[in-house]
Amino acid sequence: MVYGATAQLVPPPTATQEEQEPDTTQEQKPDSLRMRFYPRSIRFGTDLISLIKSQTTSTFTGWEVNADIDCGKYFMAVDYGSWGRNYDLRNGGDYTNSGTYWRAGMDANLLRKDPDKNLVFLGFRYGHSSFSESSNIHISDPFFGDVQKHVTNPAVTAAWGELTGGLRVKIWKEFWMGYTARMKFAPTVTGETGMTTYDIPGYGRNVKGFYWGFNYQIFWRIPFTKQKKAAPKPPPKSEF
Amino acid sequence: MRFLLVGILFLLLSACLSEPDCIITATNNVKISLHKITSDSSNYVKFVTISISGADSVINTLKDSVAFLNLPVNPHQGETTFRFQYKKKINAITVIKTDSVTLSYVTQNIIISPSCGGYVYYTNLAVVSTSFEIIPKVVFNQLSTSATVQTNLAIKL
Repeated sequence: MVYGATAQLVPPPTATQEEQEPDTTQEQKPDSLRMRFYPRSIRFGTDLISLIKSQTTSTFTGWEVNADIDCGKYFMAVDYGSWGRNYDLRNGGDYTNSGTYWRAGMDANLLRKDPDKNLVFLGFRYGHSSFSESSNIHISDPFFGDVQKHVTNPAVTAAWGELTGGLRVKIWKEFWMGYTARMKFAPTVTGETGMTTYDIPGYGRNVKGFYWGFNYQIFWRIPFTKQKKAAPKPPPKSEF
Repeated sequence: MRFLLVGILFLLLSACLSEPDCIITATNNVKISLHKITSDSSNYVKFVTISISGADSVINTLKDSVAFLNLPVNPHQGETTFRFQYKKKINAITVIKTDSVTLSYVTQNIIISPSCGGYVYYTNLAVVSTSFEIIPKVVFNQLSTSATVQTNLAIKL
């Protein structure tokens, strides 16, 4: 904080000064991101894709809310959501799941010196999900006739990691929009009893390797302190 | 830096290739190979009847001697008993013997994808009890239609 304040108070060197002194102060240029790590504002948001998918498809119901805290260059982020799938299987039977999930992690802003603090970020998340799932599977067997296998996993938990990237852009006053791309990996599932988990709320299909996710989000930002407005630049001097 | 970007792009695109192939190897048939008691060589046996617990019908259509059987386990239960009536030469006299083996297994519902379907896989095949002189050996404990799984159970008789 002291560094930032000092940097703003020092007047920019004039051309004459620059000529007289060698450029030893280049590393000390003011940088809006080189600030102390403390919370400046919180943003609350929601994922529009989940909401639209819930309304337009019969196989998904869910929502997700997001929050991030501006700590200077770094943003602490948490997500919480609900997720339910309902699939009809091609060979008869069905699959359903329902549960909640959360993610927590941190993003690093790659944009430097942006006055609005728009973000282009990379980050990571730890994800955790608690859910139940069930399936009905039909089998036709020449010896045993038609068989219907109903299996339930009543209490399953899953955890995974994510690499995130995306952007947040200030639209109007404290209203922000942005997207988050998620590279999800290493899902671990516990609590399977009768069936192998097919779909993990917050993660997606339970597959080895990487799995892709995408959120398009809107946010409302609440600053913890009033931001000082930057002093208006003096008008350029007339050459005449 | 350029390689890093290419690497990140590859990882991103690899996630798009995660749609599973619709390869179904699920079956409730157990592959049984028959061997001589004195060696591991195949033993061709003439079966009179084969009955399967939980099934109404009995297999009695095996006209020829066989060294290999493909028998279904009961999908309603976790155990199935196969009762074999077969011809065996003892001191140059052909007699009809009856032996049985009870197998246990675990079923696992696996959804491959909605467009491919969901199937029941049978795993953890084990011999619970038997009347054979030598306890049958589980060679591969997962039932599968895959050609790589040639035998689940080897019986010496």
